[in-house]
Amino acid sequence: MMTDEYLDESGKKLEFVSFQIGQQEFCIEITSVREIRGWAPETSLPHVPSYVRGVINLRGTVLPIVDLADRFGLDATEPNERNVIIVVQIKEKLVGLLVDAVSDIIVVPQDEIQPIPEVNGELQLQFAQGLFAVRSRMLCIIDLTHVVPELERGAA
Amino acid sequence: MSNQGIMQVFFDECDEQLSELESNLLALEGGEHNLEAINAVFRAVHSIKGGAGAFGMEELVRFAHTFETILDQVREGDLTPDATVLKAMLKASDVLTDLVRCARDGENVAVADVEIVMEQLNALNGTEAEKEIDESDDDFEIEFQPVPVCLDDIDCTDAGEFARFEISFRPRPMLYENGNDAVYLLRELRSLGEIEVQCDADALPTLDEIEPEGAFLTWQVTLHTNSDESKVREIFEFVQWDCDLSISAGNSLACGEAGIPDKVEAHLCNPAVGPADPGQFDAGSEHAETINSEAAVAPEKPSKSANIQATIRVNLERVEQLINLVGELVINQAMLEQQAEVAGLDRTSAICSGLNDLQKLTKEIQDGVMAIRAQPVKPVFQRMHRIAREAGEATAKIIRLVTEGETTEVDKTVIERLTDPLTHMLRNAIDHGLESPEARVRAGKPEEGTICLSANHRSGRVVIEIADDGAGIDREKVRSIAVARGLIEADTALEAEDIDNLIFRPGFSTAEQVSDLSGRGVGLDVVRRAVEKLGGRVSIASQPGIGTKITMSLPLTLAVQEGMLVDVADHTLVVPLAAILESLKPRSDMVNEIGLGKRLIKLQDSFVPLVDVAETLGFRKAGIDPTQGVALLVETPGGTRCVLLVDAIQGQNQVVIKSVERHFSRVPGIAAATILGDGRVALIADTEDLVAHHQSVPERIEPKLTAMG
Repeated sequence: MMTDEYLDESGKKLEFVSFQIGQQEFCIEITSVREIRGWAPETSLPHVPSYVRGVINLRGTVLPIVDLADRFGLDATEPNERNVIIVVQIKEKLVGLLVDAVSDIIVVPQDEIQPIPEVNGELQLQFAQGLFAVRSRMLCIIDLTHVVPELERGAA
Repeated sequence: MSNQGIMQVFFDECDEQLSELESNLLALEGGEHNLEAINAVFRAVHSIKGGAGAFGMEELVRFAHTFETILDQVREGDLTPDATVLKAMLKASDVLTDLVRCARDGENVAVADVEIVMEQLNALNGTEAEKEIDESDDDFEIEFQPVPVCLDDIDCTDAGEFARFEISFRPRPMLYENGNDAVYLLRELRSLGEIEVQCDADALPTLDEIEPEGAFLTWQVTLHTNSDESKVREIFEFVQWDCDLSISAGNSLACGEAGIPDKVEAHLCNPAVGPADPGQFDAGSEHAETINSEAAVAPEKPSKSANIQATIRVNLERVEQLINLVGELVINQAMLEQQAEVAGLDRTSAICSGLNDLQKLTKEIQDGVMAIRAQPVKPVFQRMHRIAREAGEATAKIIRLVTEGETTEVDKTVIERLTDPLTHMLRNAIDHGLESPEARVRAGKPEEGTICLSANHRSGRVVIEIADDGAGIDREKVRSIAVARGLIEADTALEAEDIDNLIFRPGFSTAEQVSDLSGRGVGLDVVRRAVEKLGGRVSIASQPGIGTKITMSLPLTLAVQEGMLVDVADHTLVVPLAAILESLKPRSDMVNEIGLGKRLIKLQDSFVPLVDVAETLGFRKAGIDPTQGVALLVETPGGTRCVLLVDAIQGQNQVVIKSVERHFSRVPGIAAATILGDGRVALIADTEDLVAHHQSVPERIEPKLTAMG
């Protein structure tokens, strides 16, 4: 588990980009973020799960857009110009994550990251890698590797 | 550069040398008996040998050496390059190609083949070479030794006796450019014996006239050695094309009075040494003379550089990146233009004229960048000579392959995927198209069958034709086979042309005997599929007794495609234009329902399945009324006909192809994507996949229905 890794290497600091989906706050490691841009209307793809909203033109690259809210089992986003797309690199591929807003860049000492407690029935937890608290807020670190299972299929 | 990197460069160069080798051999075969071609062949083999030696590829060195020995004899005029010799040499060049490939891929060499060809070569050479090979087994260094050169000049130099050589050595600028240095060569000479060196600086211009990268010095060397001339020549082996060299045996010390003609005088006056102008060094006063003398030395350089077009090696990835960026630029420019129109700007305004210029520039950049990837079809065509040779041998037919339009340029990606279909087509033409020599003679044709392979540009596409002068298609036979294989009904009425096209059907093979060559029943339908996957078309024309011509028409590039933009539900979809046979507005009486919502459409006299694109792609729950939409009759690369029902046609456009798989995964029914003028992404339909995905009617029914009509 990645969680163990975070716990073992104490003393090191990690940087995260935090963002909001509905009322909840999540974050991803800054090293996987390529850019952050405004939402643009997607071209939908046939025969894909509902959380894959479609593709957009990112300066000539056909970029798939994933609605994280939908993916996490929350209400699907109905995007407008104020929504934000975080372009992340997952292995060799670029994916745009649709979120409500990007809030902050947070530096966290590695030893402050806690493992996910056992909670029953919460779909979102399968993507959670760890938790930490910043000024009474709780942030959940997202493990990007399993967010878009289609990417692995496409790699073949 | 790592060793691996150097090795890669070596193999890249090998490819070039091999293609040079083959084209020169073919030129020789075509009756061009010029020394330049023989020298070029020799150079190619020699360079490969040299590089292979450096990497310790002994198999390769051994073979290249044997080959080179023969070539050297041809070069020296000891062996006449007649048909037998050339045939052996072509075979040898094939083996050399194989050996290089094996060395690169780390495969095992088919030793038997190599040995056979080696023997053939040695047979030409006589006994001499065989001895050499025995010697060379332990150390390939030794192989360089017995290069048989003009031994008659120095026949008195017995072992242990000292001979005198007069060497005149004038490097050309190329020698220095290639990283050699005269001083090393002189040192090498010293290692053979005693030398006296004189530097002739007569050709050296004054400092203000000098060209810093030029070569102006000539060395006169007198060498006393007990080695023979070949040893001396060996030192200059790798620079012999980059310098003027004359080596002559002078009086040997031991048999100085033995009446050997003194060649020194003659060679010193050799024009190759260049006119020595004594007035040159006091040229301060005689300026004009200096210029003259420089002009006398200079001409070699322009003539050399005029022959060699400067090229650079560029990583393909960088070119791809550039192409992507230019694609961006094109889209961006289109967007700007659209914005200017939306903003209602005056057409004569500075902004609009600026945009016009931008458009022209963008177009030029795009063409320029595409030209970087464009390559002549020559390498592919050249490979076909080998295929023809081998196929000819296997079928015992005499074949002349004529190639035309080798310089026709096509995008690299297209070229790469051209080899397989071309190979199939050529083999097919040889195996099935041409008759046996006896049959040809009976038919009053020359024994030798001619196959003409040609390429040319025609209305923005490249057209490749492969024409044989064989018996043409035996339509009766084709027909009966098609019936036997269940491809058509026995009583189907077919035009001659339709019968010819049957040979492209999967599972069709006319050869009664399944040969090694073709005839596994995967021949021409594979060709057709491959070509259509490239967005091309194949057609066939045959005249009984005269011959058959298969024509492939291909797009110049795979990066851009002609597409039909259509509306499907709320989406804009691109259908490749190459797939569309016709478009029509269906009338209600043309549509027939069968089964559960499956529909067939009646076109002329056949029924074709109807695919509602929006429904198949899941953009809409239920299909629309066909009379409200537009029907596109498409033919998939597999040869299935189908009608795609869309809402409306927007127009026709060139689209830049962008991969969806690159950052996502394969999407059913979608081949790729493109970016429209407004910057949005549009999907490009994969017609074959759409039809398969629809699965409305079992595929089998379609040909039967066609047959009924």
